[in-house]
Amino acid sequence: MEEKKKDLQKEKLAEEFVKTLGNLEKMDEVEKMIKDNTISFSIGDKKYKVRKLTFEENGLLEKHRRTKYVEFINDDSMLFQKQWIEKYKSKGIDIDAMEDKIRENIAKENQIMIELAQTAEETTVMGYKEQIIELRKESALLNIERTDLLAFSIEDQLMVEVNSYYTYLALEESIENVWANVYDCYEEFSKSQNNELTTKAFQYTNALIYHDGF
Amino acid sequence: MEDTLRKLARSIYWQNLYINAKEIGSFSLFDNNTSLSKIQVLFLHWLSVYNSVYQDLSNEDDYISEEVIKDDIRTDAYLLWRKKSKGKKTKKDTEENPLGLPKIKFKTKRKKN
Repeated sequence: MEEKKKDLQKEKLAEEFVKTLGNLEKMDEVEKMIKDNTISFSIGDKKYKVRKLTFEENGLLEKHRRTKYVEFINDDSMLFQKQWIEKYKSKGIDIDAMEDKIRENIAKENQIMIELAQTAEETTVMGYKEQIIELRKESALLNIERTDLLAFSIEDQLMVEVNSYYTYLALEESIENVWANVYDCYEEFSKSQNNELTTKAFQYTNALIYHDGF
Repeated sequence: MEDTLRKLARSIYWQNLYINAKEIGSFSLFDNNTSLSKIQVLFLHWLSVYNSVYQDLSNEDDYISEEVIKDDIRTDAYLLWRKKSKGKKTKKDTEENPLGLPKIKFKTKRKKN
């Protein structure tokens, strides 16, 4: 019994240690991302970076955005968010109601936060925090559902296209200490099978730029 | 990622760097001085927010403590409360003194008997 208790304590300590280590690694990674407007990373023995675009590259990105936008609006199978919302409504899925619920949750959360701010009593604090976390969880799930439902909209698809093109332009590899583009053309980037590289590059690009796909 | 960003922004190390960067013009927080990335802009926002919260703490303002600062939800709650109470104060001030002129009290001399 006593030994089992000790084992559990050890397990708990080990878990806490791993958690702390994970947090420190995460903090170290974020700190590196903050220091500069380029983000370097390694996969195996290869060094990569993503950076902000030059004036000329921004021009290319804008051109790509325009081209894709025209392509999408001329495609009869593609719809704007508003049109998707109407379509879903006719099938009994109310996206507007989801948005209303999120707004309602934010209003409720704000009321609880005002109460929370003015108390230091531990049990009351815990109670308010639990209520806030529940509301945030519910809103997050609704938001995920909404995002999934609208994923094929022109707005969302355009944002994906713009972010992909940005990543293609901004991603570089260090070859003999000289930075060079990883992919020669966008098609090559789009067809890339190196999922680890593209996923990481997307993640870091997301930390560099604001979402202004539309 | 935002929770990590906030943890860094409220750390003594980054708060000191932030204060120095504000006071010494040539001192920079980042390797780049221009063309800030999204994460850098977000980080600057949190540095400034925590800087103001630490000032409130040193002024011994209501409802702020080290414990609150360490807790993101409680800090959010404090910031919302502060915003609302300052808003109320400003509204009250505007109603009482719509032109925002400094209050001057004129004293009349009493007549000597």
